[in-house]
Amino acid sequence: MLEVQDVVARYGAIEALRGVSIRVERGEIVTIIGANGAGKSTLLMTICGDPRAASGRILFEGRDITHLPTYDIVRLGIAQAPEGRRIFPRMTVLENLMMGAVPTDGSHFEEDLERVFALFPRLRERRHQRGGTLSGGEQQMLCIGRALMARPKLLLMDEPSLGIAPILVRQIFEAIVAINRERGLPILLVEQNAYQALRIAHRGYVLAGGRVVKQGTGRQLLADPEVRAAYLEGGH
Amino acid sequence: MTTAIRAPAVSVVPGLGARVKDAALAAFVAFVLLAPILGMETVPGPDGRLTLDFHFDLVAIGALGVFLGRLALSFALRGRPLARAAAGPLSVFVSRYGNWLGVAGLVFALALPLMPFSSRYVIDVATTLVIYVMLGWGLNIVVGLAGLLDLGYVAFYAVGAYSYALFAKWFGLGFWACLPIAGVLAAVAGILLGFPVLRLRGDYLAIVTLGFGEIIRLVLINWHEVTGGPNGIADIPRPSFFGFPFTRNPGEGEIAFHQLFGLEFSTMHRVVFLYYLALALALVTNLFVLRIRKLPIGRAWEALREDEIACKALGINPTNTKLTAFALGAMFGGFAGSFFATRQGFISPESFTFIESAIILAIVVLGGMGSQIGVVLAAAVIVLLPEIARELETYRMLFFGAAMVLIMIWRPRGLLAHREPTLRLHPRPGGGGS
Repeated sequence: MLEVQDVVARYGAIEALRGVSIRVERGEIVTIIGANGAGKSTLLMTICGDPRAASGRILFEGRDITHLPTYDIVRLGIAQAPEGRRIFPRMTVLENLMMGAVPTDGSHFEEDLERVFALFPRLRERRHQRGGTLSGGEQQMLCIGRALMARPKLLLMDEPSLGIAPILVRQIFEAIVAINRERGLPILLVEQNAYQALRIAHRGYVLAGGRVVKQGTGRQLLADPEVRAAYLEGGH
Repeated sequence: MTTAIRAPAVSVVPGLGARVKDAALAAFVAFVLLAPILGMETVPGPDGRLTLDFHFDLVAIGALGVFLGRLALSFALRGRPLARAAAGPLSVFVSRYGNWLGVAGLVFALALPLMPFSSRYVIDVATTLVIYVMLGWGLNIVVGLAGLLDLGYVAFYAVGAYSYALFAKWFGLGFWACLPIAGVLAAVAGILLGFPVLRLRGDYLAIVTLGFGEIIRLVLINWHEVTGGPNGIADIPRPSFFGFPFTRNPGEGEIAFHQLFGLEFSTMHRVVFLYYLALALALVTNLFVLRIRKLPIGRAWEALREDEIACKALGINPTNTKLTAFALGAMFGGFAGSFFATRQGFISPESFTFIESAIILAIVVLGGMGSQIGVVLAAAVIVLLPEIARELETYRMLFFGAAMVLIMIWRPRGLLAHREPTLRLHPRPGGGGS
């Protein structure tokens, strides 16, 4: 489905990714864990073409997307729930969701909207409220719902649990699993909350210093003593 | 998160010392400003050369006045800020009755020439007002909706005006034929400007658009052969009523407007016609903006203003989206420009200076960035205040400036900062939660 091959990405002189290769297959939840500055977010952003990969290749459904502009990549079916949620604060929940449907032809809008509302009933209640007035957790729901409105073939999520009340974190992770199961939608999930992420992921990669240092199934990584010591001990 | 747990709004009442200090600071600023404005006067000396006269008494009186005024203000406010919340009663009222307000305004505007107090002066001022409203609505697309700070909007106004003047003069085209040409040329100018600069943001974009406005003006001044340079273009054909001119003695084979309707000839006919023409153009602009806000492109503009990165992540091409905003905003500037040319009958680069851009931008900002009714209110304030203040003579612009400052202190986010959502969901049978 998605193949990242030996990708290097730079911010000026700083090399954020030093030859990263990952893969996402149909129907999988794949998570990327790692410390701050390991290059997790950069990897997601590079897949979307911003920053552009300095070398290496990115294939989506067999097609080379390394040099496409971001909006074309999104239109091919890669939706993102970006870091920091980035919802439109002055627009209503409904308008935000409508913006998510931009890459579609609009013919399934009502149906898709119902599916998002079924997944996050809270959004239905607040549909006429401005995005900026939602709580952090609700904003994250909106962010995910907005990404789903694009009818994506692959969903990229950057730190969906960041800055959210613990009770809502559980809900968000449950929703991620539900999206994956019900729609068979593959998800590439970047998380600080390594424990939760590995628990729901089929496979995972550990990133450190811009390189993949470990990979395996979610269960393997959860059991790995080094992973435990570096990313799991001390609370989750 | 931290803002949510701010201390309850107990207004901290400043002590006397703090108030005196604050007032003294205000007095000092006033002193610095007043010293050259009031304190120095150039008078012809005995040998005919200019010499400076100093009036330190006036400066001292002024500074003392500011000191006492500021002190009184701080006691009157008791530590509360002067600024009102964005969703003040005015915003709420307008958002509730906005449609009725719009209809009432339109009926009033349509009936204005028939009103008992209507005169040539009233209609003239009203026409100017309507044109500024139209320019405000046009610029609102760029600044209010798409969030692109454009300091050179007058350039498109100029392109429209010169397009009309040149096409009407040299090719004998009528107003209605020139109008679309002017719009298209202005839109092309918008795209030409937009293409290289839209990767810039905020302040940088503002500076480049400022430069573009000046470039257009300088081209108009220096391209003698076409634009007539600083002399401008005179004898621009005046508008006709769909081919029937507003003249007392029409040319051979022509029928004048007053003959067509069997009226007594009056110069008011043309003035009123121009007024209705401006009103029609403004209404078209308004309908267009109201409609396009609800289309994907309009929503994309607003989204782009809020978060460009999110827009890219949602598959929006920011460059094209901004270009359409620039081009459409420019097009309406061009329409207004060709109306300006036909109304004045004479145009020169003098009419298209930076101050015009600043006034139009002030209308949009004062109106509350993106609010259509806000633009009308703000245009009314900006066009009518100097008219009302005519009796103040020399101090007219001082009064105008002070009024603007006061309004922005009172309503920092503009007269109407409320944003109307672009869609509402009809309650769905069995949908629940509605």
